[in-house]
Amino acid sequence: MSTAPGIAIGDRLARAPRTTLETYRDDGPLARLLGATVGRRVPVPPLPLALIGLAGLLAVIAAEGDGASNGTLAAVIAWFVVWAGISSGRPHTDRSAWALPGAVRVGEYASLIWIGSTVGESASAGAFALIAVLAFRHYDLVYRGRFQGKPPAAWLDVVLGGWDGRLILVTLLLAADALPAALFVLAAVLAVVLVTESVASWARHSAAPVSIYEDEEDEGD
Amino acid sequence: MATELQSPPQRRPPVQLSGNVTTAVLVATAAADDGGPAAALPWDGGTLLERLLQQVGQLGLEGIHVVTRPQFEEALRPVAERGGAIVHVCAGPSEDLAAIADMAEGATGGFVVALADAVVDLGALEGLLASPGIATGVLGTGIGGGGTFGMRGRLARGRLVSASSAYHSVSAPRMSFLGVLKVAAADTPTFAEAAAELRDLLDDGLPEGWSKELEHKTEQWRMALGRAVLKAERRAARDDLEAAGRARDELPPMEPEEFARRKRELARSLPPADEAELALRRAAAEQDVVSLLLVGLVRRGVHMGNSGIRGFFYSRPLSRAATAEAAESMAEHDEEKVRLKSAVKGADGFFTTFFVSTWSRYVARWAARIGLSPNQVTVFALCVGIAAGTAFATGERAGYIAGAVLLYLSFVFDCVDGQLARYTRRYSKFGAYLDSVFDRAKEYVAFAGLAIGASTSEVWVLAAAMLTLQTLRHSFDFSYGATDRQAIAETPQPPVAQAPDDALGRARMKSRDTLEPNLGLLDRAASAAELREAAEDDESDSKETERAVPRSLPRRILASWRVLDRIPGLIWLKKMAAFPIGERFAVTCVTAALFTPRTTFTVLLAWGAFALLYTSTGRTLRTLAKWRSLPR
Repeated sequence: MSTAPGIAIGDRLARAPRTTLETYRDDGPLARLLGATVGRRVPVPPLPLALIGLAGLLAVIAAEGDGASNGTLAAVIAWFVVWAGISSGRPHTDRSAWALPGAVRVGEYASLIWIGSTVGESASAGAFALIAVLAFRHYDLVYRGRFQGKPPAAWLDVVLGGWDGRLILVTLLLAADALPAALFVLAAVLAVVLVTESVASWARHSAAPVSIYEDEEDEGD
Repeated sequence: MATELQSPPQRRPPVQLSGNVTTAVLVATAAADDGGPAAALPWDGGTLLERLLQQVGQLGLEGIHVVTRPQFEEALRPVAERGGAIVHVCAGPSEDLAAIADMAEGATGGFVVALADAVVDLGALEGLLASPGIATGVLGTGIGGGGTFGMRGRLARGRLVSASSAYHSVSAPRMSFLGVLKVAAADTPTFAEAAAELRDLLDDGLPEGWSKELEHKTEQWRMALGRAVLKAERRAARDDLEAAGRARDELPPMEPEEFARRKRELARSLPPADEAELALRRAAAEQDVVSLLLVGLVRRGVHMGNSGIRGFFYSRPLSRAATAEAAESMAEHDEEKVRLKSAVKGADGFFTTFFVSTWSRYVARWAARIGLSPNQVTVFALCVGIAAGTAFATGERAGYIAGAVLLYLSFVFDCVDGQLARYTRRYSKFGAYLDSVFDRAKEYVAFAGLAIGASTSEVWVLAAAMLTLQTLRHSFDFSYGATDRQAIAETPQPPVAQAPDDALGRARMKSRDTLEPNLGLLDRAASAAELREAAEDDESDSKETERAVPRSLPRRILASWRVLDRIPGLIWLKKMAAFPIGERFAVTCVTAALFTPRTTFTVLLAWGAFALLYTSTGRTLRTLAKWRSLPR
């Protein structure tokens, strides 16, 4: 039982996502920790777990709107992070697993829009800017795999904090009264990191082109 | 220099081949109607083999091998050696396979294996060999395009998952294989193993079920020929009525049972020309190691891409008369025009097809003439998109109108870059990445511009909501595709020694204990499905129709949904319902120019939400359908 659980968890955090869907989720260290500790003991497919988190989040957003207090906001986001985080530890192999990255994405983006509108003023523009940068990250996860044959660097998962880490960071910034400015700063910093890493990877990659399949009738226009 | 000035202006630079293909194997083992090699049939002052050798040379392949029979050696060796090829004289298919296994063993490059007696446009070969999206793959076409005797295959998400040969059958076929197989360098070791395994199987006498499958195929071909004769008879009778000034439908429709009976009668005693053709095609199928190698690779689980013929010319004549006919239809066909047309992506939406691709291909050709690279066009398109966003950001009516025009133009250039890449075969992975990322960037820059123009907090929320909705829809597309492809890759393949391709195939073949097809197709009573088709056959000139059998409720719903595609126009409506990129740009342009950003986002969100519901319903049904069919 107690034979170095720390090492087991460490292994799980260190390992790159095993499947394409796990890569698309963009989990950070916290979500992976929740998945590795709690998630693997819950004998339920991952989608219902993530949907419990998402349904609670969306219900409160609909009920409270932009009048929500910071306390409510923090509690509901924590609720979503816990459930969706736990779902990351379940194998994404059943037939419904394709909905998971989307569910995680909606939770992250909707939370940011919500936070922006409770702050008001230019915070909604700030939320748009941050979501636009995150959208680049999330398309990059797909397109790099498709056209380079491998996902973006693994250290980005830690540096960017994953959807979980970013949600907690923005909630803390909200509590510290740093919004809306912090949203723009965060968007700018992330944009620089993401674009630099992508450009660097293509500079390395162009030396060794490989054939990667793109079967016709591909999706995504 | 004067010589430079005289060089032809349309000369294309050699294309870069993908998959590190270095060796071509041309299989010249089929006999023509005169008993000589089909590869030596006359074409344009030379022979079919000469034509193909010239094409292979143009593609820059280093090693060229011609595999042939002792009785054809005299006719082919001089031609082959003039074309720089090494000739392998083999007594039969098992020796062909031995020779090919020897070539592939230890080889470092990839291979292209082709029937040496086919007439194909160079553009079609380039499509297969130069596309970086296909490593190992085939040249293919729709199910009817392969003709009566074409070897069929089945695609799943564009990947070939089942193939046929003289001795192998495909269940629920959806495409025809056009005799050109490309093996990427990475798959060469597997290719060598597949060739060696097939050689051993042929050496030991054919495995169980193989010759019966060939008999079954021959019966099917015979039946198809009988049907063609009957349809021609009926058509001629209707033509006579018309010539006599009467209505075509005065000839009463045949009862389905009568149609089936008459078809069998004609199939049993075909006209001598059809009888000769059938014998020729059957013999050619027995000599066709290209199809055998394809089955060998597919059954070993190799990822097999499919490059569609896309309007390019293909024919496998096998007789002097058929060659002359092919030459005639090729003379009418304008390869340059097809090349331009085939550069347009196949599965585009309504707006893109009718309001963009109609003229963007000429922009692509113009860009090719002045030597622009696809990436230059991609970057230019982004710049125009940013200009559109800036114009939107002014918040003035004139800015909205200018932004709408610019956004439309940026979308046109966005289609041009891909068309230019396909047209000039200047593909790059980085270019494809840039194109995909910039596509998204332009759309979202336009959203930002509109929100800045409106400059209210509420519109920023709408813009962010639309961004979220669109990325969610893409996320579902990507993830659903990934799951589907994973499932396809993990589906086990039966060994190559087995004639049918899977459990469904075995069930269709009736006899459950032997895995062998039930012969006597011509004596058996027509099935319900055949009778249903007979009525349609009598009225139309349609090609072979082969249908999947739906089972569970979700499958039945999906099948009836697909049937709706036959209603003209409905397929476009279905495409529009999914709110593809062209429609999204069109909505943005029109509503921004005429109304306010608020209206734009409201329409985008409403249509987008409907599309999300629409596509997710379909996918949920498919998920359920697959769940039901998983256990076996």
